Amino acid sequence: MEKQDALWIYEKMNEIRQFEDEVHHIFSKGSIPGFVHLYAGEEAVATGVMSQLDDDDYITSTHRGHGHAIAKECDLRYMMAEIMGKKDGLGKGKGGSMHVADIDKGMLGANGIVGGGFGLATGAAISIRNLGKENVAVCFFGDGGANEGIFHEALNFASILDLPVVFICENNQYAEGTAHRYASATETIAERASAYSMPGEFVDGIDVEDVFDKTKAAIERAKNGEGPTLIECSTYRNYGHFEGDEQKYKSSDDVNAGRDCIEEFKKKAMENEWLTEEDAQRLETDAKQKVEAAVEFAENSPEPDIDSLYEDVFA
Amino acid sequence: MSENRNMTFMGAINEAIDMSMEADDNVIVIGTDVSGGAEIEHLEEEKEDSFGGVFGVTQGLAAKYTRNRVIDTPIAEHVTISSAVGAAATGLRPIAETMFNDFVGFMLDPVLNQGAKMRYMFGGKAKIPMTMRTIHGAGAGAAAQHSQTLYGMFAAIPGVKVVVPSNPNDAKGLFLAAMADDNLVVFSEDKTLYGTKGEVPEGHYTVELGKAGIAREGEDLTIVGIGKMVQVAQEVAEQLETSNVSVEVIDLRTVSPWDEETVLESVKKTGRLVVVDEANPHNNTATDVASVIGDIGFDYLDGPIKTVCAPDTPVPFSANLEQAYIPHADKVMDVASELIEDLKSVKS
Amino acid sequence: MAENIVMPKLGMTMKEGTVEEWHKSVGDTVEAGETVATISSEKLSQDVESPGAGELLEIKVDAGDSIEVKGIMGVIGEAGESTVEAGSAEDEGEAETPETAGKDEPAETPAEAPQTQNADKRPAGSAQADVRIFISPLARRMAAEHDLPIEQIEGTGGNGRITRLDINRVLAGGLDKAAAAGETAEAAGTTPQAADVGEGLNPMRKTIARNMRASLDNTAQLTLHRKAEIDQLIDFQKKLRTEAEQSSIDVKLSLTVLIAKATVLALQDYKKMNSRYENGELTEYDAVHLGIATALDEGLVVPVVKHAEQKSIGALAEEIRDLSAQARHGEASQETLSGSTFSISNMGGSGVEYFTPILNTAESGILGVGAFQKELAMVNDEVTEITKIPFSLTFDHQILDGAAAGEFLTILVRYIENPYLLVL
Repeated sequence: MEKQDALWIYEKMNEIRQFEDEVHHIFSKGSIPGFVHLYAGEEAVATGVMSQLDDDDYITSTHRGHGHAIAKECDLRYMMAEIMGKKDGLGKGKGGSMHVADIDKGMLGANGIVGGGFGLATGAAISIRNLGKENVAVCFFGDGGANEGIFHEALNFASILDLPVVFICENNQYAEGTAHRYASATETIAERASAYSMPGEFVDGIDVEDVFDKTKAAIERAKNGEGPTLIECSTYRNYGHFEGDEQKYKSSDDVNAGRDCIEEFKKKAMENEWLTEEDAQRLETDAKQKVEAAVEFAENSPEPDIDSLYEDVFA
Repeated sequence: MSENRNMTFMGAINEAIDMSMEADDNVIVIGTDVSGGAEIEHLEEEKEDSFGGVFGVTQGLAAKYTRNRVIDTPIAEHVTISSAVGAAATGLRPIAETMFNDFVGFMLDPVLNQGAKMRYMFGGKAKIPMTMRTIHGAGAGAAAQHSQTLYGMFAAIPGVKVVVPSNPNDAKGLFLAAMADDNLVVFSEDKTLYGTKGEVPEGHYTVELGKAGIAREGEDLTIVGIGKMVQVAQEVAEQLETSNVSVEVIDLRTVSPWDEETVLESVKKTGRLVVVDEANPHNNTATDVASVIGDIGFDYLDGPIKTVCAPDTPVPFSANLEQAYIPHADKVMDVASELIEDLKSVKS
Repeated sequence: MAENIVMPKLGMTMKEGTVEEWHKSVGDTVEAGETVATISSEKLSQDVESPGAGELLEIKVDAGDSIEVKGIMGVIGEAGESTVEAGSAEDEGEAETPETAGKDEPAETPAEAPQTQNADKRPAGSAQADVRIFISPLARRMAAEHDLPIEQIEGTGGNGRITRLDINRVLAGGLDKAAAAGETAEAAGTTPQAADVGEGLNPMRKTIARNMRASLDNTAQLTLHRKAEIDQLIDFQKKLRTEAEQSSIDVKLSLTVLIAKATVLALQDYKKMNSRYENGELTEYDAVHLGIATALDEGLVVPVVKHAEQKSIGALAEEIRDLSAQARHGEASQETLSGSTFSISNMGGSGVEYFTPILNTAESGILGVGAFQKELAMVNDEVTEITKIPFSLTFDHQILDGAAAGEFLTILVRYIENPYLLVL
């Protein structure tokens, strides 16, 4: 990791954290309709991976997708407007939190269907291959998504075709309220990779550097035509499955409970002299201001026009 | 102008796929056994398919366009269709095959929740230029899990267009129109039509999506048919012609969005409507046509709208039962007779 | 400025929450973000943070009590600040978010929503109160456009439905049935079409109702009108009366009797009119069984002169007199009230000129006789007053055409105007 990477990562981590804390706050006031699933706590995964991607690389995301979208450099203002169901939202207010997407940024969408991204990322990888691009498709999914049938179908298919795709499992220990240790027959998700003849890496998902290094290798493999990699990032979410979740299932003994990826990275980055205290304060303040601006923008954005209900069904 | 050739239904589809791949390198074919024989040495050497699709519809394409563009999938319907959606969203124009539509249970999510909704959810940014081929229809002895008629299920999903060709000429023209469309189009083929022949023009032409065809003009009774049921409607029309009853046969061609205008105009003329659909009798395309025309065409109707469908049962295996399951001309005649009762005194 | 502590929304379905505990009391100093209370909804509980720094000015919802989502639980502000201000400020803020504001409004029922009880509403002319007429939407629209009474149209479509073809037929050839209000003769022995026809009427009217309705439902009635000179017949009647008196024959030779005789002779000449059409079978009769419509106080009956063709004028007169008397006294047997092959209805006594008698089904014709009409005519180059009698012949267009019925009238008029033929 270079200093430049570290600065970018620290900036995005803070943007995600501030954004999600703000959404939490606004949601409890009742200004956000529907379901909201917050990414706070898992910032190391999204930023560690996305620091190595550009707009021509594709990602597919999950219902917990705000962090991926921010790290893929979607505009915070349009994101916040979308989450509030406003006209200026990324989806013109018609997608909402679970469908934040910006194809121009290579963000193929948060996805309300657990496991919904496996096939999309695999297909994006076919596009990359057939169009002769030197890019990669990254599929984010949770420990819950890993137990869907499509996990098997997609990993097997991507592997036989050596497609340029990286499957990244964000194991935050709970699929809704069901524990990973209960729901998975294997201790790790990563070890399932051997069934599909691809490398399987288990990563400390709270440690950005670990995420960064393992992903870097996987992306290189993919771009070299050596096929897909399965990476499991062990992480933890700060909030519940959805806003309003009492989180009875959590305990202080949980894997990664009590750790804070931003604190840990700040310490390491300063030790490695990637980051100064001034840098840190500046980036934290910038993030705060960007999120405040996003909220202001979203609040001032009008409701969608009723006519837009009928628009964009077909191209 | 080239002379029209006599060609099979499946030959017409094969030609349409071939032309689409020839014209655009971004067109791919993806599905189980769309070629078959990948990494089987003697087939690879001979550039041969093992199947070219279980019915041979995609035969010869892998040899011509390489296995990079004619992609055999494992038997994994979900990833077949979802990866096609992903590829469509990122620059390719996939022709995905899900084989028998009865396998919908394994592949519905990418159609229902991904392909159909992405553009809408993403504020108009996504395009899904993808054609999903699938196979429906009883009459081949394929029994309950390989014979149902389910295009109506797809037609119930907003954001999906659904096409059901009835003859080789339309099959080619509709397929080329589907390929030119930037949306997810389900192209549902009746397996029992594959061998039927008809005139197919050479070269590129399209049959407009969402536009019904008037297969036969008439004055007294409108029969709307879908896919193979257009033939049934034609048989009925011929029988009734001997009683001087003139039947207009409409080939719906696209079941979503279906052509309300053409059906309505015909009903304005005839006042009598029968819709023939091989789907099971409830919540299908026929009931939808009946419901919409019953509304917008109420004051033009000279009798109740009749639907003729398969019974509310799975498709049976035994040949006699299967034939009883499929809507035939005699069943349509029975149903139509009440509608044309008043014509008997003046036309006999 | 004071800030409200509001009940948070825990999940999409939460409508209200309960304050479990206040961690601060009124007057306590609080920091922004400090936990001030714990709330719960059905399954969830959560700490509520202070929206700002200051003093807890007011607790609006006590521990244990519930309030709707976004309702104000309490107020934070500077010591001594008015809490009213906070309430109004928050209300304004809420108003700017119509989406969420709308959500919490109680579902309102418009107070002045019209109470439409349209169960009994039927489109005009769709059906009479007691008979459902089946008609296609297209035919109904056409009938309305041409102002056609659908109860007078025969439906030939499936289920007896009136269709476009029926409307077109009526537009070309006139209504199939006469209006139900016309004068008529009773049809004995016809089958009522609907069980509820005539319901609520006395037995005689009920029978009449059923017969009238059956007549209109089952035939295609058309009425022709024609006058005949009657002076000759009146002279003939006078001479016959004189002769009868001189011969001491006790008989009342009314004009009705003579018209009946003329009708019998015309029917014998023109047997198509002397017919019955029932149960899918048309029968022409040699014998003339002549029905004579007879008005009673409570209705009308049609006693029948059997084998009228075998009877002289005198015998005819006698039998008509007897039958009328029986009928008036309610003594007519079922035998005498049935079996007619043609009927006569005389409304001359009421001054009626022309009318449209209703067929006494299953007969093919009925002759209506109107009141004498004085007219001026040129006779031998002189203006002379003559007397005419109007006839109204209703016939079943299913059986006969207008030309045929006209021919019958011509024959009848010849007998009326040349009365000596009556005794040849």
